[in-house]
Amino acid sequence: MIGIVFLLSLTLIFGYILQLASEKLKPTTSTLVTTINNTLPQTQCGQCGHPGCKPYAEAIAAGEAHNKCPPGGVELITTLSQLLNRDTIAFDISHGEIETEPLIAFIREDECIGCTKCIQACPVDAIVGAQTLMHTVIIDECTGCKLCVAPCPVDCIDLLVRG
Amino acid sequence: MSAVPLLKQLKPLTGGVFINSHKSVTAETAYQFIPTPPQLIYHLHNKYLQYLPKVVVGEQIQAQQVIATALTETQAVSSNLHAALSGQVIEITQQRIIIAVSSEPDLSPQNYAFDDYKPALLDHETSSHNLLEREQAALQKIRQAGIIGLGGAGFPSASKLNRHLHTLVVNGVECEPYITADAALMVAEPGNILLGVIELLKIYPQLNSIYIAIEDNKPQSIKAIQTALAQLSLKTQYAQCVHKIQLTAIKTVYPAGGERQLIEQLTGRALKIRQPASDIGIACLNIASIAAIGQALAFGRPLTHRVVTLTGNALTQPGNYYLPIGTSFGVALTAAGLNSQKLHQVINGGGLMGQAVDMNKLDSIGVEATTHCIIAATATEFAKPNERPCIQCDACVPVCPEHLLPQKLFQTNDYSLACIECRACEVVCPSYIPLVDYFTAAKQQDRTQFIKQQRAEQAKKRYDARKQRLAQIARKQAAVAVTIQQSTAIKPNQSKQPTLRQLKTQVNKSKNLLRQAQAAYLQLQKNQASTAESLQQAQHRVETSQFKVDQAEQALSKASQAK
Repeated sequence: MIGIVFLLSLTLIFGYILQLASEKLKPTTSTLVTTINNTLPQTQCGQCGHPGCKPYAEAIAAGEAHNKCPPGGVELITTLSQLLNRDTIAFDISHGEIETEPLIAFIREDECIGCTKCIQACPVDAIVGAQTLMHTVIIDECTGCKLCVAPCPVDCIDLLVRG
Repeated sequence: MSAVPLLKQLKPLTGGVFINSHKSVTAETAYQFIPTPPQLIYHLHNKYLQYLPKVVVGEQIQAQQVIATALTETQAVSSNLHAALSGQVIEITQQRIIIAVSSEPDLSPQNYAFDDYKPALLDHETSSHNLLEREQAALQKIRQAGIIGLGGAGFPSASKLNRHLHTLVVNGVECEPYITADAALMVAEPGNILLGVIELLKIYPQLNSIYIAIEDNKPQSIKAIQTALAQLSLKTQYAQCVHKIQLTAIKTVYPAGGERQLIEQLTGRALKIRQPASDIGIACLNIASIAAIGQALAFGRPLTHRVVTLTGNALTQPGNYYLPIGTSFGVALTAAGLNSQKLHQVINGGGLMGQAVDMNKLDSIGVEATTHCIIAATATEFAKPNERPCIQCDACVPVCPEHLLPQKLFQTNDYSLACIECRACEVVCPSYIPLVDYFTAAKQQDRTQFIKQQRAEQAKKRYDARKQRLAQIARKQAAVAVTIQQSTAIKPNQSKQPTLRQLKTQVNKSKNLLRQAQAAYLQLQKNQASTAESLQQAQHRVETSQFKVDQAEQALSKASQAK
């Protein structure tokens, strides 16, 4: 009898402690955002409608659909569905086509007029150059986000498949 | 002539398979020659090196001239490519250099007999400083001669050598099916191999054991080396060297000739995963590399030719051929009597680890220093039944020379860095599963994933850094704006538009003033004592107040209309 009471009380005490712990030590949103952000491809291309990967991660954590990332594609949707315990949904084509191969920007240097517009547009500072001087892309740093293409007034930037 | 005793191998290989070696067609006969090839094609990339052209299109070049150089990070020469024959450069691309040959080849490799060798160079009493200089010079010579691992791996030979070596393994264990190029070299040029060994002993006198390892199914090669050693030991100045050389027959099993396997069999020491042999003071060099080192150090001759096994059922004259490096596969196979009707596929390399070559490009692929075998196979020769599901028989486990569990790796879609990709597991697999293909695919996938992750990490860092920087700039600009505002705020801003509320209070204020002025005027009128002058003043005040009220009301109505 004493044994049963003792064990029962132990169960209750530990159960209570566990209950408390699960409430007090809940994963905060910021750790969730970090985890989501780590799965995103970090191209910072903004095709999802957010100004970068981290803002999109925050939006996903807040409940936004997780099918808006063209560089991540279907693979990312599956990973995020598992991570967030959500349904696997089809890719949202309103945000562009799925990119299967990693891209890099390439400046045709003869045609560059040195306007620095692409430098300001680059989200990862992967373009070097100065006013009226030729610009070029640091291949190792380029994420292939295409953000430099639109601002170029002479259309001298190509996107190539990373070789 | 006293026979040199054969040493027994220390530790037989655990794992490995016995396979049909397909070597009888080409085995152990001295090599043959081919007619001068019309073109030489030199590839500028291999697994470890990237060569930069040193010649220009149209340039006339001599045999043995350097045509391309690979540099180390410190811009020192790590390897050279030499033209095997003289001719004219007709094409240079990023991938290759093509030379149109104009001269007859000088095809007379001599087996060295040590008749005119200078024994003074074997002097062990040279000071250590001298030795160091001599070593550096010798390594430089080896690099400049372009000597890389001729057993197929292509690792620069000089990188395997250092002053802490105590054991040299001369690898004559050609365990892969079809290949007999090293055996042919041993039969034809045993003296050149020993010359290489002695040249290495000259720069590394601290080497205390030298193993020459040969498979026990090659009695001709063993005999040739044995005879050469016996002859050498008759010359007193070499007795000390010969004493260190141990000729070892290795049990024929695949893959006994792998560097890691061979070292374990000879010395009993197992290398850790990816550990280079020089870490434990052992250098393992292919027998052809040793011969090439001998030529480079003794005569300054660069690596321009090599023995290649041309075999397969689609050839009418299979055998070992002494080819200038750069000879196209097409030319080489034609010289060996290619029957193009029977030809189904061409394999660059041995029967197990070789890679199939694009059949349409046979004339644009040149023999490289690492090409030891070309197989012209018929349709039936490498036909493999279709892959079937794994039955978990574990047959692949005991044959793995690296003691891995290939079946487990396959089921978990995993790979191991320890896998030497020898394909022994595939040979025994009753379900014909191309296990190594799966492992390499998994490895590749993992690698791309890793690179992707690293890139993402980098991009994240840079994105955050940029955001921080922009925020900092914005903060600075805001601070500057505030100071400007403060400096201008000393003078009241006239042009500033008053708000509606301010205008309303203005109206109310002026109305109040008007009321006060009117009250004062009325009081003055009632008071008899007031003078006309003061009355006039009060009237004037009322009028101006009235004017101000009108003005304020006008401004208010204007402002409210504008809004």
